[in-house]
Amino acid sequence: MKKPILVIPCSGIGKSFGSISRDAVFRVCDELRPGKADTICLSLLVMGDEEARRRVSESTCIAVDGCTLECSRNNVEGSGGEIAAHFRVMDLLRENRGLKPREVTFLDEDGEKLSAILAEKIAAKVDELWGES
Amino acid sequence: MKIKPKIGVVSCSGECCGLGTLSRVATRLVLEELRPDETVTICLPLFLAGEAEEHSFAKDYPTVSVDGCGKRCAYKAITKYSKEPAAGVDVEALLVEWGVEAPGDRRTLDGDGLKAARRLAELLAGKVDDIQGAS
Amino acid sequence: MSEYLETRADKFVFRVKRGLLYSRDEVWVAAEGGAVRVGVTDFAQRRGGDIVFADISPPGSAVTRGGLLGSYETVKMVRDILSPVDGVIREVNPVLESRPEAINRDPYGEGWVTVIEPTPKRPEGLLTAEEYFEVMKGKVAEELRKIKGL
Repeated sequence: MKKPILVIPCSGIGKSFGSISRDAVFRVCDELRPGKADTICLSLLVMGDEEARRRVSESTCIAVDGCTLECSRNNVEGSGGEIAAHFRVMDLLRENRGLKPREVTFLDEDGEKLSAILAEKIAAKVDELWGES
Repeated sequence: MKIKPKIGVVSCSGECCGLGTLSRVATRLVLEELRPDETVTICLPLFLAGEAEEHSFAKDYPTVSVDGCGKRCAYKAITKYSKEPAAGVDVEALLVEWGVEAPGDRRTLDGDGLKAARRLAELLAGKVDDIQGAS
Repeated sequence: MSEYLETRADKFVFRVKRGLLYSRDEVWVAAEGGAVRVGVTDFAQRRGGDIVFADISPPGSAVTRGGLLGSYETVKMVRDILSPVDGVIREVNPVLESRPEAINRDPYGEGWVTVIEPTPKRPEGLLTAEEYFEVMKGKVAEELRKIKGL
């Protein structure tokens, strides 16, 4: 049986981008591609949890970062994982210049829109990688 | 005049379940509404990636860790790379104590989840007050 | 001696690079032969947040001191970059087209904005790093007061 693609958000708590990355990943794992996509706790992985490390080493991974600091990618690669695809919320902002997501705790309307757009892109990538595995 | 230190509040990222989302929302409520002048956020993923400012702040100032579950990633990470937090909360254990169910949805907190987040935020604000009062 | 003068507010460290000149409009200036390389200060880039777009006047554009060199946009604001000198733009940082966040990541290095041929050749009315550092500390304190509503 195929293993789910691991989609790992940065979940940065200081900026709206981190909240959007998290929200989009949950949309993919719980609504758009349940069973094909799953996520893990980034902190657990970096703190050396054996189960988290095993899952990352055995799975295809997608990193979803909020900003250019790229904490998800850096932390996953630093923990021995290989990234098959990478998304950054800030890059999506450039493609959607009219959106100005500002809220962090609860996404505002523009944050929700951006999360939905990002989730569709991630879901498409999950389909592509699923087909290859 | 005694200068009270700012307190760093660190939530786990907790993508696995609603407990992580609850921790995160409660932490943000402390930062934004309850104690905006007294607290700063430490971004745990950034901290774990080795960001110097986050490490340095957690070494020099008191912190409160907010962990969704007993694995206590935030508490352990701050202790390992900076210094032991002045206070820490295991939200899963706290909910059991309160007789409150853990949130089922990890993306959005429902009415009960939001109530739990506000109650947790009040508890965290109290811990911030205790730390500032003791310093 | 450290390359930077630093001041800390909460967990944020604001840096001023030694050896550069500064305008009160938050632009740094480095003399390079007959030209000057300019960029945005660390304090300025932190205030706005992550830069998503940078729109800079092209090479050949005439600029006046205090006039518009370009602007950058974050989710919070659009901020003008004001020229510290009179002159003509000779070069624009090509990195900023695809990676304007270079201004955030390395404001005194990779995030430089333009090279200008100034007139007169020797820019006037600019602050030394030490002078600007004092100005910046005052601005940081003012920002903190504003946030606290004092």
